[in-house]
Amino acid sequence: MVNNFKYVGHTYPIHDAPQKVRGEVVYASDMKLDNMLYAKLLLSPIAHGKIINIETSRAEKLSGVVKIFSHLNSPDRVYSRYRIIPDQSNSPEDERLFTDKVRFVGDRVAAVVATSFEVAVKAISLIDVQYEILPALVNVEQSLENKSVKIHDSGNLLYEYDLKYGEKGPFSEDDITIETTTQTQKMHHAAMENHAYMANFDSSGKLTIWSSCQGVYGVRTILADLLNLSYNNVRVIKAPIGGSFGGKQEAIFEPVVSFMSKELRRPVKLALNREEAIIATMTRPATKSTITTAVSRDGKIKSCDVTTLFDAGGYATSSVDNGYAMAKKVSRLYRVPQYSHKCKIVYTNTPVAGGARGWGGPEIVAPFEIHMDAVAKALEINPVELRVRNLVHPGDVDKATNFSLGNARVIECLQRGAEEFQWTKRYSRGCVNSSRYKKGVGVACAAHKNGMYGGFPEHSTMTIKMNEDGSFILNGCLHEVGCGTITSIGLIAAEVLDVPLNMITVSEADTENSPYDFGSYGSRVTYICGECAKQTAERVKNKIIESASVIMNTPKQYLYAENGSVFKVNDEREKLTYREVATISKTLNNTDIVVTHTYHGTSNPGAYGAHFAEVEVDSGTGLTRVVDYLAVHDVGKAINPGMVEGQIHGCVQMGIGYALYEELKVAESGKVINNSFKNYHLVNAPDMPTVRVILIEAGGDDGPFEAKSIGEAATVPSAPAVINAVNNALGTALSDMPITPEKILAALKR
Amino acid sequence: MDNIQVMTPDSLPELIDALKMATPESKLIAGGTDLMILMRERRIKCDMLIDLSGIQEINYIKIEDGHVCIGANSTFTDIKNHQIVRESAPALFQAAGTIGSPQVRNRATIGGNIGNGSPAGDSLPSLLVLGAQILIMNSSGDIKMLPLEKLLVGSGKTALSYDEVIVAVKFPIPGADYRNTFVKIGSRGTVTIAKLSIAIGGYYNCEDNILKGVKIALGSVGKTALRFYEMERLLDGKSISTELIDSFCESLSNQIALAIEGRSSMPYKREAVKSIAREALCNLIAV
Amino acid sequence: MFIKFKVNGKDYDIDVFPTMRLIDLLRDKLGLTGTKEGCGEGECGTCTVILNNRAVNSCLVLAPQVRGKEIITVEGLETDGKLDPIQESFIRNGAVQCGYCTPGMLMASKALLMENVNPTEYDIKTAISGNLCRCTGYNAIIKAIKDVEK
Repeated sequence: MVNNFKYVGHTYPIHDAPQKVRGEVVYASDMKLDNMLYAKLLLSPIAHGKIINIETSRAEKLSGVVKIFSHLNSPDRVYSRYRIIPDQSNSPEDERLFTDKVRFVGDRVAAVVATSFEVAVKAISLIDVQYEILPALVNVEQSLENKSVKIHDSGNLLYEYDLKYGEKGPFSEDDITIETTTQTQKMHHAAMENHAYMANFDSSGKLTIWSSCQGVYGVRTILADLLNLSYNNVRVIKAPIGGSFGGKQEAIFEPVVSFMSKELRRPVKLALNREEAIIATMTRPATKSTITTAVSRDGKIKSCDVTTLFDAGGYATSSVDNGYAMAKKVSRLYRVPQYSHKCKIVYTNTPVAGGARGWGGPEIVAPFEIHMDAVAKALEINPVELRVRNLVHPGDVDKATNFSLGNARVIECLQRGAEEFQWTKRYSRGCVNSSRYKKGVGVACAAHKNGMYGGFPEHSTMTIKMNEDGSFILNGCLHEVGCGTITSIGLIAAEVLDVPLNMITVSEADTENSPYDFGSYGSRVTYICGECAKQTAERVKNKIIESASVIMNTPKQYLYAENGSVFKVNDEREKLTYREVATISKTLNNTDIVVTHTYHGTSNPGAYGAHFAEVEVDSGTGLTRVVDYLAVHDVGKAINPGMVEGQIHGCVQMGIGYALYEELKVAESGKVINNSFKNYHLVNAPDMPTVRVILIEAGGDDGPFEAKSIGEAATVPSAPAVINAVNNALGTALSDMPITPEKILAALKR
Repeated sequence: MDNIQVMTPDSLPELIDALKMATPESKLIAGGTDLMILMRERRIKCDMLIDLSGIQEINYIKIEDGHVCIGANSTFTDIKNHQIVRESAPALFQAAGTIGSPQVRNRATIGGNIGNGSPAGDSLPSLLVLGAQILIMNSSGDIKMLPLEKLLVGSGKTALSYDEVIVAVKFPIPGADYRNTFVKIGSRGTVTIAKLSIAIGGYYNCEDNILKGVKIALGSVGKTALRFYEMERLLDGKSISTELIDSFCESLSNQIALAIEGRSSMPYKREAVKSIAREALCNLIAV
Repeated sequence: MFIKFKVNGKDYDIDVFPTMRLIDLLRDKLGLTGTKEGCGEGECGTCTVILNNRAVNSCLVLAPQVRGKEIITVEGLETDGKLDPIQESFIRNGAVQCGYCTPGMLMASKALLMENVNPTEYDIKTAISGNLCRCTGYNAIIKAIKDVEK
């Protein structure tokens, strides 16, 4: 696509980079209010048990302790921290502010509010809790087998579905059947900023909370409904976010902080430490999927049957939707005539599962892409060629939803990438040497979505107002989570209005001042909010021309706006600057140039990618290094290419960790063994390869300037590309994620 | 970290005064890279902290009486950057470079690494192979010397009394033909706790291809970093051949399997040790 | 206890709680909240500051240990209203996303550049090996450190 744009398609740093490099951005954990109190949580040390007694008298005597909360003095009311809109389905209410029965190590037992953080910490250590210990069910199998031990009264099976679409085609005797099983593990989102909140309930009866959250309106709904406040009396302000990756999309601790502030009528701050963030917030879900495909000899998938066990952890939150999401990924990626997916979503006494970057995508596409390599091996077809024979084409319809997949350029991603990566040459090299270090290459494809249309309401509202000097305020409900949303939205509006980026201020989410928007998840922000910004800006531009038309006494069809001015067609000397239009409209014509617009998305095309990895495996120690990496993505159009690349780099970092070593290990007791960065390793700089990026910008869909999503999409193919590369290097069929040195050496020994 | 008294001696005499006030619950802090975490997590009880970081007299690396002498306050950055260490004690140089991150190496001290007594203590296998002696001062200012083997008595336990402090480490300057090397693996390439580490030292003469005076020590395979005397004997005085290396790696693997029998990490370590032992041995005899 | 030290060129002589950590001294006592906490155990590097010319994790330094020493925090990188070249380079190269690791990354990078004006890629990766970032995959950060104007 030729870039004829002035702003869109050019690289800009994130809008607040100058403040961030100065350390000036005030995150929630940096905030201080007068009269502020500090909260510290007492989290359950056991995985499953009833609370028999909570003895707080010693803690209460400590100077500086203001109040201690537990189930004894908080409402016995269940809620869902995931239910972001009223009457939302698939959000079982099974959680309380403070529990009287703990369901995982890290469950909320009590909290101390004190005049200093140190006092709160000390007071926590003085609280004695007695538990009646119940058996800990620490994986899905245990939960399903031990029906008499009920994690929730409703039983341990939270939800079960059996989806089918397409029709079984004619099978041939030549067809082969391949079955693989892949486990995916619990993973810590690992935003560098741990969750932090500041709540302030004041004497006017209004609750204000600053939260590092991904969706203020959802948090508001949950808080207001839980605390019996009307929606206007809950003000949720999105604080700067030090990374989220899905880990801040649910109202995890906002309810408890807000409740305590309401009870005390003072500001209360809660800032988690790393251990608390690891065990007590949410994790990527652990899943186990068995995939069975029937494939023709020439490598065409004829049918696919999947069964999944999904570990929800101690509470339901988003697991039902998250489990459902898994069933709708393969049909976006491959032409599978018949597909069935059976899934059991199961409570366990382990940390709570929730959506994580890719939302069900990495959890099913990794197993599927590992499966595709098994098929390729069985049929002796090159993995790239096998995929080309099955991938969706532009204009295909998604069998799961009956929506168009739009300009789905995944085959182009794969072929361009294979050429650039010299796939054929490197793949056929195989395992050439007997040295300790083995090299191999792997490929994986992925499909993701663009917004929530199809299963959920999908719209966004924005207001753009023009100031008297010709600058603009774009008031949306945007959540900058670090991926450059504010800059992208600004670029889109700047392109339409044809003014420099610094003439547009884009505001962030605040329920009292922002129009409605769902928030930053579902890969919806660029596709939906971006298009909303574009359409709103177009309407403002139209209004500017209309206003100029009155001032210039010229029919609007003879006017056009360019470079911050309105010109008369064929007579460039006759013009009004935006400043003149805005000021004269206001002072002489009593006209304000302001537009509020709601954009309703009505499509959900696929966003695609193909990743290629080369690894070097130390066959002596099992340690794996990714030494070369190429990511090719069908992004429609890159609004801010540098940030798009940055998103892809970050996704690859997460994907390598998912493939090789990031796993929350839960002991038989239910304790998380690696509850710190000392033993929960992220990929660090020396282990990170240089990631080459190719963007396919073929447009064709409904996003702003035909852009599609990227921030989640690029996480999806990364882990399977790495795993397939390891299997290529070693001739193994490893699929139990993460493929740690231990598993690699064990496989080599066999 | 509540009512803990913090002493900040700025000289050895002041340190002696501080040690006189120490109780069995007192702790010494140098770089703080381990202790600060334990205190924060309230995993240790402590009534008094004696901060060693201000004592310049124990911050040196020098050669004295045929020994390399390293003051306890030397950080691993100091050690890694020091020419004497790099040239004469490559095993220690290599170990120093694998400790934590640059930030940690800039704070963590050799005295602290020894005193902490972790089975995974990165400098310990190398120091064992170098024949390190530990200089210990008590609250009377008396200094005694103890071989490192004698100091390490268990996981996180040393033979140090609460009123004693490590002031220096010394080992004989390895001769020109005394070679030593160190290899470590963790669960990530860098900035990782040792899952397994090995140091090997010995006199090697290329011409007759014989290894003598062999010392072998491993980390993370027991309660402390350990010498493996039987393995030393297996190599000592032998002509190095592929067969010998193979049988050495196999025997070591069996020994590790016994040493950590029943631990979930055993199957991995018994395999992985073969290749790091081979790597260390090959490094040792490489020209 | 009273300790004297210097932060960003300014002398302090203040009473600190003896078991306070340097990070808390900076953030709570001096209001220098640019230094962030990400793990409290020296693994993530977000709290990195420069102590007597060397990068350290301020969560692992006991406040009394900085007596007589000189500290530079992210707030001290700018001189006379002008950003340090490393800050400029981070902006220019897209090395900033969520910004939470940024202060620590900058300080680790600055400490490297104070010692070595022409670091290799290996030197750079080693220098920031103790600084975790979940957003950038380090690629842009490494590029930014290479691209600093000398």
